[in-house]
Formats: sequence, structure tokens, C-alpha cells
Amino acid sequence: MLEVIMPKQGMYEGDVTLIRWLIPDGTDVLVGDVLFTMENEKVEIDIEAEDAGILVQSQEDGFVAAVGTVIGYLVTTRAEYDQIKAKK
Amino acid sequence: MISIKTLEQSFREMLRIRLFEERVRREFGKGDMPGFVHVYVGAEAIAVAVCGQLEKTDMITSTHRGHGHCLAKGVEVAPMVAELYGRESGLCHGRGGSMHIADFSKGVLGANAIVGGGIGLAVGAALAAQTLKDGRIAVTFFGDGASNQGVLHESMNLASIWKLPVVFVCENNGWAESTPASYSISVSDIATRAAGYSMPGVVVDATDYGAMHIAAEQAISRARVGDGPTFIEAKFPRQVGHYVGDGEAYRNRDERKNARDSDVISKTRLVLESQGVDVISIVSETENQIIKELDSAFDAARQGKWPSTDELEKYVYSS
Repeated sequence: MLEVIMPKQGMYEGDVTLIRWLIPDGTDVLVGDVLFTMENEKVEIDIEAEDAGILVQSQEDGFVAAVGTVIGYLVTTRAEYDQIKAKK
Repeated sequence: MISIKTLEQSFREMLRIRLFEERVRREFGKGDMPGFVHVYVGAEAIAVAVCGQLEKTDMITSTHRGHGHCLAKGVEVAPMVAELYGRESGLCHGRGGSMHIADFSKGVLGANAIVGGGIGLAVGAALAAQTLKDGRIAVTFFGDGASNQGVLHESMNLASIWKLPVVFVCENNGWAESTPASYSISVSDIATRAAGYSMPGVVVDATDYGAMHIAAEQAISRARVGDGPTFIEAKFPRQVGHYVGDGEAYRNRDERKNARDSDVISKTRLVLESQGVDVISIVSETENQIIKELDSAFDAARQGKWPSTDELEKYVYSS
């Protein structure tokens, strides 16, 4: 299970906003797919997937947190996906 | 033509730099590495071809995008990573960070956040080597943006009239941050400007490792035997943003994709495969080795001691 974070981009180290997910929860994604848009210092930036896997969204559009905060996961099997979802 | 053995060795070194930079980019996202980072992805052939053919005692000056030069010149991974995190165990005791890494023991006179800042330093180092007759040479790396700085004119002129043992390596990725070279540079090949200083100017495709290696070999040998400076313009397309996190709103997404299609590591891999080299084993060996080294370097850096505020003024001047 790999974490999806809102990464630090440039110098800004304050809070950032998950503007919107661009790929629905439960989708198989490939490295380089644009996963979500986040806002950092009034700039919207599209973030690509660093890894491949099934996307599990753990935070919703509009979520605000510090750079580096986990907002989802990339898992390898449906069983893993179901397991994380069941915990919620 | 370069030998397959040399190509294989250079491929390993380029891959090592690529894996280092990809890891830096990923770890930077976590938010605990201070400042900015600029990664060397796509330019690996230049540092490897040049630094790989230098002696340990030869000197280089680097840029804001300096990790590749440092690694290729033999700087160790763990103290480099500690420096990125600003820790006391870093190469510059945490005072420098990514853009000011220096390791005099390896001939790395310093990365430099000032655009063109390393050019005059390398010419000075070459003057020292010539005066001391110690056989060393100096290389300065700089970007296409720095080629428009006044210091390059002064430096090339002095290097030429004094026949200094220096190599000017212009890494032209087509963009000075967000300004395209096609807009800001008066010539299509910067190397043509070398004629104004009576020195050879060579344009090289830096996505072709073999061509880059030969150009570097000739320039280094010319400097070594006392024939004076050479200007190399190493052209390659920029695969990534100017800094990690650069959204690149100013450029077309297709351009970035095309840049990735002419990646030097992928191209070198194909050449090696066509010669029957077992590239899969080389890749897995290199990955295993560097990933282990990086895991321990990042863990150690994160747990490392911060410099003490009581020593804020220490190391401000070197002696």
C-alpha cells in the first residue's frame, strides 16, 4: 500500500488545499496519470501519480492540510481496497 | 565511437543519478526538506561524460541544478542528502543546502544559486592551476540562461588570452526558468559565440551519450595539454519543471512529453541492448545498490542533528 500525499511544491511550506480529485475512487491508475488538483499559494497544480495501483481516496475535495499530508492510497488488489474501505 | 564497456559504465552512472534525483523529488514532496530543489533529470549524460573523464584533483563549478555534477565527480550520497536536509552532518554542515553543495576534497568548488556564479570561479581555479603548474584543469557548468550574463564574456576572454586550462560547458535545455531560449538568445547555437574569443565552440546532442563523451574528451585533453579553453554547448530538451513543483503553465504539455521520448537513459539502453548487453541485470544491480544507499542516507539525514544556533557564524568564511 502506497500513500498519496499533497506534495510540497516549490518553496511554500504552509497549508494546501485538495481542490478536486480528477480520478474516481476505486480506479486503476498508471504512473503519470493526473490524480488531483491542489492549490498552493493561489496556484492550482495538477499532481501526477508516482506509482500505479487502485486509487483509494481517504480525503474529499476541499480538504485543507499541511504539505505532505496523506489524502489517499494506491493498493495492488481489490481485497486490499475493500479492506481499507471497510475500516472507514 | 566509444567502447561498449565505457558506454555500459556510463549508463550505470547516469542511472544512479536518475534514481537519486527521482528519490529526491519524491522525498521533497513530504515537506520536510527546506527550500527549493532543481533536479538533473534528462541532463545526466553531460555530468557523466565530463566528470567521468576528469581526475579526482580536477575542479568543477556547478549550478543551482548541481546534484548530477556532484555525484558524477565522486561526492558521497549520505553527506549530500544530509546537506539537502540542512543537517550538521551535511557536506557544508547544513549551511548550504541543495544549491550550495561543495566538496573541495572531490574538486567540487560548489553548486551556486547565482546564475552564472560559478563561471568566474572556474576561470580563477584554472589560473591558479596554470600558475602552480600542478596539471589540474577546471570545468564550469552553467545553463543557457547564464550564457547571457556578462561574467561569461569576461571569463571567456580572459581564458582565451591566457590559454587557461578550463572547459566551458553550457547545458542548454531550451529554458531559462520560464523564458525560452528561442526568445532570449540572439543566436540559434550559443557555441557560435566562442568564435568571438578565438576558442573552439562545439554543439553536442546531449541525448546521445557517445557524442557527449567524445566532445568532453577532446575539450578535456585540449585543456590538459595547455592548448587552452573550449566551449561545449550541450543541447537537450527539458523533461521536468524548472524546480520541483513548477506547474509549467508557460509551456505546452506536448513539449514535455516529446522531451521524455528522447531521454538519454532510454536511448543508451537501446544501444546497449542492440549490442547484446544484459541491460536488465545492470539495471537491477544499480537499483539494488543505490536504493539501499538512499534508504539509509534519507533515514540518517532525517534523524540528523540540526546545526547549533551558537555556531551560526562558523564557516561563514573559509580559510
